[in-house]
Amino acid sequence: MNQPKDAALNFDEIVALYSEKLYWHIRKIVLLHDDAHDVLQNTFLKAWKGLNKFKGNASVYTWLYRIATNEAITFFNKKKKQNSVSLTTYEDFLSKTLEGDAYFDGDKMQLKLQQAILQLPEKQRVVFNMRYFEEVKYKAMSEILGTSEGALKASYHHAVKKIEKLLLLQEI
Amino acid sequence: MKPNNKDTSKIFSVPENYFATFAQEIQTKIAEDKIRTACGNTPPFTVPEDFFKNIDFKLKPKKNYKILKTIFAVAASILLIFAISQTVFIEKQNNKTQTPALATENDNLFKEVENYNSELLISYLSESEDNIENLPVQEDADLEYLADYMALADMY
Repeated sequence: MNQPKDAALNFDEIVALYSEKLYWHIRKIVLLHDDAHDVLQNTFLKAWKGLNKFKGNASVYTWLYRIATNEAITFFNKKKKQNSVSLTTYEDFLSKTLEGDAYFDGDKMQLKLQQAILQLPEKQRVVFNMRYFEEVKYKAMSEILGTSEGALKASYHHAVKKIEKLLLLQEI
Repeated sequence: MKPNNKDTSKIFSVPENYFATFAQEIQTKIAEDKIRTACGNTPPFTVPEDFFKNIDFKLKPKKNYKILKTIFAVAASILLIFAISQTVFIEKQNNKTQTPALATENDNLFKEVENYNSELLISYLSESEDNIENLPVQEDADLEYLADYMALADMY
């Protein structure tokens, strides 16, 4: 993970340096571009507000990644709550929206993969995205998510097995 | 050449639980590989053109809410004090104008009542009890007044 001399960076530089990486991390959790953009803005807003509280124990990137993860999960859960009166679940709504989304570039299998990921519990979904797509090391993941490496490995194992099963079921 | 019988486990070490979790990790890798082969691991998302070039967060400077709160509290207190003082002032003014007027009105009323009944009272007091029925009472109000007077006289 890229860890520059964070303390020397001002906030504009932080935004310029990390916005793209954080965007993709958020996007994989919330799936839609507009939602990802909103969450990214909230992430930087929170970071900016808490910049003076940042003690520098972790790298800026780890700190931002943690904020982004929490913001994305909070956003997702909020949407789920708002959708609770609807007959379909928010996950179903997202699955259908992805099919017609102008900013979704995947084929049929990739769509199935995303739909399978959506069925995972929140924590497993985050761990799966970080490990499978971004190949984040367990140690770094542990710092970001505040979970032990062993628990993360177990989470990823369960997530992968579930997705494998879901994809196989869909093929049948 | 002599075979090297040195126990390598004493030279190298592995992370804790490495062998205990190894089987699970291999299973994970196999399943992961299957998913990768079927779906790849490139995120299938795109963004609007030049999205990252134009990304810009206009963050407003931090507002000093403490100062705003103090200003608001002071303004509210001033308004409250002003409202209370206005109410008290208006009440005092009303009292000032109303008290003399009321006093005069009371005096007039008293005089009027006195004038109205004095004739009747004098005649009543000068007559004996036997002739009281012959008093020149003309109205019900006169009778009521006399009854009240007599009742009062009995009391004292």
